[in-house]
Amino acid sequence: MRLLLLFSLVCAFSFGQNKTIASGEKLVFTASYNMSGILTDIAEVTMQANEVKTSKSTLLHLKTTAVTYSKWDSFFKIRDLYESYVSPTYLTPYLYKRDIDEGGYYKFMQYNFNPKTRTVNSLMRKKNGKGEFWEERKTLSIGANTNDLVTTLYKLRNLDIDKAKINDTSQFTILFDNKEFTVSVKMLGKETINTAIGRKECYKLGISLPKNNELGKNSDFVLWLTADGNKIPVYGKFKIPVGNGELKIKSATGLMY
Amino acid sequence: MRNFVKIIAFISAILALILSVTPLSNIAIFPLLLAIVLAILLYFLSKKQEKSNKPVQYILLLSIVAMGFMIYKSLFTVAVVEEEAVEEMNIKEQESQEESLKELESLDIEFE
Repeated sequence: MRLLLLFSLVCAFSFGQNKTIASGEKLVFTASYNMSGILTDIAEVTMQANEVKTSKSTLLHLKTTAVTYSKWDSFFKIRDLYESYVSPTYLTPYLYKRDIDEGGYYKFMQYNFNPKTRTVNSLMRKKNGKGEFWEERKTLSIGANTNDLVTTLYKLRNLDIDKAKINDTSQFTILFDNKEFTVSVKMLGKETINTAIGRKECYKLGISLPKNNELGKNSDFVLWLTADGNKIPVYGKFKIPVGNGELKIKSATGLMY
Repeated sequence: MRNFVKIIAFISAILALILSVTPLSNIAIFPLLLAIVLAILLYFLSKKQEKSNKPVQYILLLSIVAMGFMIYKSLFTVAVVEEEAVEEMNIKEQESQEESLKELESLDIEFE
């Protein structure tokens, strides 16, 4: 019975082939943080998808960057780079990299996925108090549907949301900091909102993280994806223990439709 | 009472002025409003006790300067990513991609 329930939950939305992400797509967002009730623009977030060729195959390079606006650089500089190399058809991840530099805190994570054996070779590089780098390598076993963070963001856009009913839920397993955790994505309904790229009819999705996640308890996200073929994330609201904020789209180019 | 109000009003006005020149200029509104309210209260207390109004004038002057900075920054400062930051990220991305391609060459990639 439990298995059946889990199966029905997972299948509430179904994920098929990539029908939304085109090579050359570029989405630019403004991330704002709520300071005592006043939203302040903190950083520019860019999501790009480009084709890359190796001698054996062609992959889709999914890249997300976060850079603080110049006025914040002297206070809290962020230079984050998240990347994933995936198969263009099913968005199966092969290589994931996370290179973050946040206010002097540096961390590098790399996952080499092996979908056949369901294992991941992980590499973590950090800076110690003396400014020296140290590394840690691990081999991890993962589930059949485990993806990295960047791939999950793009897979979310490939769900058949148009077929989903209100309160339908889908689960995603994400590998983050060498730990797997499951997030639930719930269809909350349809809304029409004003964005920098026009007035858009959107699917409103609620994303819940497990209570023992990296961001702490009571972390919730609400995401608005356009109700068209591109399913662009145009607006997002996030709530974390240290406050809340928003993600608003600034521009979208190179879209599939 | 008058001295207490005077000290808090001065602290609020100075805090508002400091915040207004930093990237946190948006939140300078809170100490600024407090300084103005306390300046008004101080004006009535000074009038009642027949004392000098000079502190009120100084508090209001500091508040007006803070407000000026705040309004200027909210109207004319556009949030931009510096050219240097763009260049820095481009180099980081380029280096990462070169390394990634080497990694990908060594991986056994077979599509579904």
